[in-house]
This record gives sequence, C-alpha cells and structure tokens, in this order.
Amino acid sequence: MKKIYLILTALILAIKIQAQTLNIVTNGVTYQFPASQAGEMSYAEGSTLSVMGKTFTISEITKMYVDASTVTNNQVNIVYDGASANVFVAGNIAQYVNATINGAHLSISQSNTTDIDDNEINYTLIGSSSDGSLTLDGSYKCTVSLAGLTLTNPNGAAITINNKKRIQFSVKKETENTLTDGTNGSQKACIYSKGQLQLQGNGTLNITGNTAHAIKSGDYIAVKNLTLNIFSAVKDGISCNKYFQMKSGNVTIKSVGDDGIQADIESDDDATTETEGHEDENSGNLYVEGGTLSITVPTTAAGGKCLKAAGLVRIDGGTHSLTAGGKVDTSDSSDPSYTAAIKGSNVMINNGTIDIKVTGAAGRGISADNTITTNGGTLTITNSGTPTTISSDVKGAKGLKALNIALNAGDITINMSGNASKAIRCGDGTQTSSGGRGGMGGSTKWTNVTGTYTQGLTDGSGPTLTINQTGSAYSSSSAKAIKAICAVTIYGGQTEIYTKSSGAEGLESKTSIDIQGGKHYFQCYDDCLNSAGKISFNGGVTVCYSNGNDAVDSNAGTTGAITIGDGVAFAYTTKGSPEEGFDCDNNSYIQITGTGIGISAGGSQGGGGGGPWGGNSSGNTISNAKQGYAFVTSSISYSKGRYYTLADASGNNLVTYSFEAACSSNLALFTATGMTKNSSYNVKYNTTEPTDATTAWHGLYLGSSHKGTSSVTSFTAK
Amino acid sequence: MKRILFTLMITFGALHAQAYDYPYLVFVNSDGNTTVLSVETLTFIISNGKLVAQNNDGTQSFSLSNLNKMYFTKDADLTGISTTESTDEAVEVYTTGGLSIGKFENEKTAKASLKSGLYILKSNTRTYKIAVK
Repeated sequence: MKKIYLILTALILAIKIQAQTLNIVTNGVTYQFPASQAGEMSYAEGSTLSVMGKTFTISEITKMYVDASTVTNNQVNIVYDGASANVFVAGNIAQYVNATINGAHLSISQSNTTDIDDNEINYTLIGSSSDGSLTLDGSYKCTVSLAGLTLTNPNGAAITINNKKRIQFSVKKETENTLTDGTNGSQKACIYSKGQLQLQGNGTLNITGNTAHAIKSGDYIAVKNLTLNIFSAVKDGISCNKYFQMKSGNVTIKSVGDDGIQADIESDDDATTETEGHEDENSGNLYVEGGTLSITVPTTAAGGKCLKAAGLVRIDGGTHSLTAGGKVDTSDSSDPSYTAAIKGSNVMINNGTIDIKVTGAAGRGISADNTITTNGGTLTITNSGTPTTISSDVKGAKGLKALNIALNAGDITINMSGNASKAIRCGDGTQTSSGGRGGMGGSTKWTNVTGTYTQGLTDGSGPTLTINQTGSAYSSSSAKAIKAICAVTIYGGQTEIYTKSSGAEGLESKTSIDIQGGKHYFQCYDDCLNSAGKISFNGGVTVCYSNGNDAVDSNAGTTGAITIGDGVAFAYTTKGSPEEGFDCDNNSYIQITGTGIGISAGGSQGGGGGGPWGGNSSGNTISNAKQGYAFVTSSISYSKGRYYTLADASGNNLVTYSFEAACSSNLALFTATGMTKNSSYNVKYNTTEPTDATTAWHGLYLGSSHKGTSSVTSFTAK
Repeated sequence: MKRILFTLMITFGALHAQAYDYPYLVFVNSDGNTTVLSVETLTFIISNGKLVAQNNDGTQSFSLSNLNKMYFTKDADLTGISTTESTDEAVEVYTTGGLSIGKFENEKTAKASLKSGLYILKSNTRTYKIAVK
C-alpha cells in the first residue's frame, strides 16, 4: 500500500500544467499570446482586435485558436517548408514585429528601440527552402539563430539584415545550416548585414556566395565558436568594415574570387586605431585571437589574399593554414597586386601556429605596407611562386615583405623555391645606379632609404629564423634569402640561412649590417652577408660559409667596411680566388674595435691580400686595432672533418673551428680574444670534435680546451 | 494491485490532459453580458461579422460589433458572476463552455438534475456559478 501512495505522489507531481496560448494568424504569420500575459483583449467597432499592444484588423485574421503551445518571450520562430514559410511571433513582442510572407520569402521589420522585457528579439530559423529568403529591418539589435536551416535564394541574398545595429548571428549546437544565394544578382552577399555581425554558436554554417561576397557586413564582424565553411564566393569569403575579430571556432574558406577575409575602414566614419574593447573602432584591423583558419585563395583570384586588412593584421593565437594561389591582378597597370597569405598596413604575429603556402606568381607570404612584427608563435612559409614581369620589371615571390620588419621572437621558417624570389624583402629608397664588378658583388646604389630590419631584442633574445632558398636568378633578378634596402640590425635569436644559386645571397643590405647578438649560420652559394655599406660584428656568433662567392662582402669602400667588434665571425668560402672570407675590397678597411673573434678563410682578390683589388701586402694592415691580428696569405688547405685550433704560444685555446667542406685559403684573417701584438700564435688540428665548448655553432667552438696535434700554420700578430 | 496501479495511471493520464492553468476564456459584450468558454480545443471562425467559437461543448457565436473584450481566467469566479445563496428564481443553466443545458424552476431543481461539475446559472436578476458535487 505504501508503494501505491509513493506512485500516486509521483504521478501527481508529474502532472504538467498546460499553458494556454491564443494564436492569431494573419497574413500567414502566427502571433502567439500566452494566456498568462494576454490580459484584456479589446475589440473595437467590430473591425479590430488588440492583444498585448498588437492591433489586428479582424478581416485579415485567417485563423484564431487556443492551444497549449509554449511561447518563449522575445522569440520569433521561422520555419521554412519548401515553397512556403511559417512565422510564429511571441505575444510580448507582437506589437513590435511586422512580418510579411511571399512564398518562402520573408520580410520582417521590428520597431522596438530598446530591450523588450529586458531582452532583445531572437529570430530562430529552421527548415528548408530552395526558393526562400529572410530580410530584416529595424533600428535595434537582435539575434538571428540558425537551428537546422537549408535556404537558397536563387534571386538574391539568403539573409539580408538592414538593421544597422549589433546582430548576434548564432548557429545552434549540433545543427548544420546551409545558405546559398543566387547568381548574377545585385546583392552584396549571401548573408548581408548593415550592422555589426557577431557570428557565434557551436553549430555548422555552410555558405556559398554566387554573386559577390559570402558574408558581408557594413560594420565589424566577430567570430566565436562556430564552424564556418565558405564553399565559394565570387568576391570575398568574408568582407567587413571597421574591423574583423576571430575569437575562436573553425573557419574554412575556399574558392573565393578575391580575398578570404577582408577588413576595411568605414569611409563614412572617422578612422581610428584600435580602441579599448573595440569601442567605436574603425581601424580596418583584422584580429585573429584563436581558433582555426583554413583559407585557400585559388589561381583564379586576381591579387587575392587569404587575410587582408586596411589596418593591422594581428594574430594572437590559434592554428591556421593559409594558401595563396592567386594570379597577378594587373587591372591597375601602375599598381599590380599580388596574391598573399596575409596583407595589411601592418602585420603583427604574437602567438599561434601559422602555416602559409604560396603558389601564385610573385606571391607573398606576408606583406605589409609599413611593418611586419613577430613577437612569438610558429610561422612557416613555403613559397613556390614563380616570377613575373610587369612593365619590364621582374617581380619575384616574397616570404615577408614590408617597409619595416622586426622579428622580435617566434619560430620562423621560410622555404622559397621560386626564381628571383626573396624570403624577406624590406626597406625602400631610390635606386640611383647599378652595376658592380664581377665577383666583387653588386653595387647598386640606393638613396632616400627608408625602413628598418631588426632581428631580436637588445637583451639578446630573438626569433629562431630558418630560411631555405632554392630558387635561382630570373632575368636580371637574383633569388635571395634576405634583401634589405634599409639598415639591418640583428640583436639576437638564432638564424640559419641556406641558398643554392648564383646571386642568392644570404643577407643583403643596401645600407648596412650590424650583428649585435645571437647565433647565426649562413650556408650560401652566393655571398652569405653582402652590403653596399658597412658590416659589423659587434656581438653574437656568426658563421658564414659560401661555396660560390664571398662569405662576407662589404662594398662600403671605406674604413670600417667590415668591423670585428665584440662579436664572433667565422667566414669562409670554398669557391677559391677571387672570392674571400672577408671581402671589403681592401683589407685595411677592416677594423677591429672590440675583443671578439674574426676568422676568415678563402681566396683573395688578385691572388693575394690587400689593395683595392688585391696584390698589395701593405693593405694587410689594420689601423688602431684593439687587439692582435694577422692576415695569413700563405696557402692553407683546410679539410672537412678536422678541428682546427688557434692557440697562443703556450697552447691556450683561443678558438676552434672546422669546415663543412674542404677549403683552400690564401688569405686568412686571424684575430681572437686575447691576441696581442707581436705575440706568436699557431693553428693545429686534430680529428676529434671538441666536446667541452661553451658554445658550439656550425663548426665554431668557443670556450673549449681542445688542442690541435698537427701544425697548420703559425704567425706573429700585428 | 496491478489493477489499482493501472486505474491510477489512467486516471492521472486523464488529469494530465485536463490540467490547464487558464481553462476559461471570457467574452464580454458591450452591454456587459459575459460568456465563458472552455479553452480546450477552442477555435474561432470569423465570418459575416461574427466570431464563431467552437470547442468540445459546442458552438457559440458572437456579434463582432457587439464584442467589447475577452480575457483568460483561471476559474469561473468571473467578473459579473458571483456565488451566492440559492433562491427560488427560475434559472437557465449553461456549461462553463457556454452551452445551454436547459431551464429549471429554480437552482435547487437544477442541481438535482445536474451531474457533478461547474455550471453557470442565469436568472432574470443575475448570472452566477454553482458547483454541483
């Protein structure tokens, strides 16, 4: 019996009190008034019925009934069903919502200017139609939710939101939604919003833009959580004004006719920089804070960019795959546009993993009008873009291209294979002359130079930068790893640069190169370091190995062209004369201003040291050297697999070095920490690699007690 | 025991269907007269200047030009209707859905003829509700 009472009690508790709802159907729209809210419903003169502030013309009421429908305040439910659609409007917002239906094409206007019952109106769309659409008008924010919608409008946009306020566009969890617009229409996008568009939710949204963009907003667009697949767009995948912000989610964009995501500045408003909380921001910035971007710009996209911003492109996190395969846009012959993975006025990478592939002609990995900055993250650029000729000017592909480049931190790998390509290209100026002397390196002069190139920070920290340049020269343009018109300052970090072809210099600056810290290795077919100005080793450890040209080549033509300060430089070439380890046209131009290490090995210009073009031993004198040095012009045959130690007369190790390949030297500079004038030094080798070095870097061993056993050469320091 | 449980479930299954929070819709004419309809299966047809209500109790027609207002209510203690002591006045009995059941000599006679439930009684002087147990 007790059990019966228990069951009875449970049954009583399970009794659900049904709510009553008055449904009034007019013009195909069902307005739903809960009995608990309806209050007094007034008739007037037999012609109108007013319920909760909504006045119906009785003659237009096609159906009225009471049922047990559950009504959620502020809710408009839209159900697409083939050639028709049904709209259900909650009673508390009925007076503010006016909907008209033409087949499955809906036009809804909302007249509220504030929250209703402390909330905004939420439109939820479900169902399917191959000939339907939704147009929203109003002057207050609202939410549009997709909860399983397949909607195609063959004659226009699928969804148009003319409300110039914030629109939350929520894609509901575990639902897949597909929107397609018509071809050759006048619409701006498959989804168009005049106001701010916040794309969110945990569902999936698939979009095809058959006339213009897939998604377009006249204001900012923010993305959070959702999975967004843009299958194709005649123009941009996503286009917005003011700024774009991706917080999280998965966005895949393919087959665009222009850019993957573009953020522009709203021309009707004053431009701003980034603002706190993005309040009233009109920066044209593009922020990627997290999530996953997978964007492919196809070959048909002229000048297409994966990410393009009129302002800053900043990546703070996430995992992203960007493929720029567009063709060159020559519609403006004076300003051709090249495909790029990222293009902005400025580009800043603070964190995240970014995998960039560039296949389009003369394409860019990252391009900025002003500055590219890396403060962290992992950036990999693989660029196979071929060169193209615009108005007789060869344009090669670029990994990074900007006026200013500051690689402060991060793990950066750039693989270039296109002919005439540059892994990094920065600075600008006026090219006033060109020429050069054969093996002496180019002597193109630049004036009015602007821009800067820096690697690392003054505390010695810096990025890990790896460049593999396998491209060759094309027409008059050489492939290069780094080409800077401006001055280059390297404060720290770790660099490895490899090139394979004639003219493919490792680091070329038309102004100057100053290495102040870090560890750097260049293995280049052409010059490892080349500058029209001075090259200084004021800190850090640099190893330069060229197998086709000079290791270090300064064309400054003046005292201090190559300076050994407090840094370490090991420079050798296996090419043989006239290519040198340190080439500055006159050995007397070399300055020793610190207590670093300078070891060079290679051929000599004219077969001997000194002279502007060799042959004058008097040139082998360095004025005001801060420590001892010597130019050794006797022939030294260095072999791979041997470890050569420069030691003083007491056998104290000053430095140990080895070679990647056999190197025949007839001009070698020796200067090392502790060397003094008129003291004797020797070089001996053995075949055992030092294991106690405090620094070991590509054949250079510092702080080791390694001793050679077989004599190579000896000299008295100047 | 099984039979008891089965009976209980049937009973409460029926209860479930009948448990409305606002079971009545009241119509008020411009002359103050009211009509109370049960909302269960209540639908309306608008035709020729009339609002025709249909539910399980039957059909009730209202002249739109004479309708003043309508409202939902939780019980039949409605405005214009009161529970009072029985009198000897002749009454006409309606269901709460507005369906006329018949005319009786007085309330006492009516009660004797009615099944258990709520009814609306209308005399020459007033309209009121009774509960027959």
